[in-house]
Amino acid sequence: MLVLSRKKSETLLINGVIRIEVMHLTKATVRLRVSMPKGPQHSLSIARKEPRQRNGGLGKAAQAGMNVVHMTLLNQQVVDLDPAISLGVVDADKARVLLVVDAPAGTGISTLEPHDPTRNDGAEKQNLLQFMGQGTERGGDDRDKPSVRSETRAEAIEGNETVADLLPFPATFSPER
Amino acid sequence: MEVTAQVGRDHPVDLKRIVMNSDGSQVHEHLLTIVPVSFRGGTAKFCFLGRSDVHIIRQEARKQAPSGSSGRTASRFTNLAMTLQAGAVVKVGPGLVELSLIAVSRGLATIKAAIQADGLLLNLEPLAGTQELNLRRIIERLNQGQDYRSDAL
Repeated sequence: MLVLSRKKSETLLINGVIRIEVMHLTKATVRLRVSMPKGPQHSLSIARKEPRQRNGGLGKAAQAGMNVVHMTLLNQQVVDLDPAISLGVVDADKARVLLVVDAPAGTGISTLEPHDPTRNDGAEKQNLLQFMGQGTERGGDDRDKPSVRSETRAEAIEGNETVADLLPFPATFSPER
Repeated sequence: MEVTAQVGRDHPVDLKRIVMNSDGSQVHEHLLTIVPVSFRGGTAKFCFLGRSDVHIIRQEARKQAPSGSSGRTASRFTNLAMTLQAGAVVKVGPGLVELSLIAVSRGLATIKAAIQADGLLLNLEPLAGTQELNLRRIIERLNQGQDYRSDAL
């Protein structure tokens, strides 16, 4: 039995195929979006099928053979995802929901954090800055700190430092480096 | 059941055993709490607050059976700190959980816990408060038979 908390937009992946995403949280209730492969072994009793899209076509998940259902669960409510796996709500509030998963041995469960677009945007911005000739900042953990390395390439070489990330574009690489 | 999750600094993970009383009620017996307390480079320092009858053994350890392990009884909780790097495996037992450290990055450790026995409960909920954990206080409470979480299961 596994007890774990999830915030809004966070996801739980069971056996790599059953995906449970927290859509909305209120006091004592949680709205979940469960996508799982179509098949007789996966059925939900307390569920509402995802409405069809307005253009009349099926959603991407439905086209890919996935069954997508939205469900609202209350505290202490349990639903069977398949004959061996059940999902329940221990406690829900506006900030997080405490879920319980009961599954047999051999079941793989992983937690997925929501995609954080700011990190990638930051990385792309960093690359762009470097190619624009202003790339004096360094990547990694200290990416957000102001750069203190503003010396010229010649000064840095004198100091025996690596300056590959300080070169303005276009840069010429000397063969001995 | 295998659980993969990311835990940050001071995010406790509890292992409990569900025991059925004769009257049908359930009791959650606290066995172990694992807390990442510091991160440095590619390593993470974990504190294992375990009950004395719970064995905590690193897979590469020279001795796979700690001295006096067979005669230990469930009594006091103790703190065992281990600095682990990615790929390290710690066996919690006998036959309870195999904990693997998958990756350490940016103050987060990705762990995989393979639960090897029935009737166990793994609680991955982080604490509500953001204050630093007081491990000594947690051990005191566990030794008194109480849970350190205010909303404990």
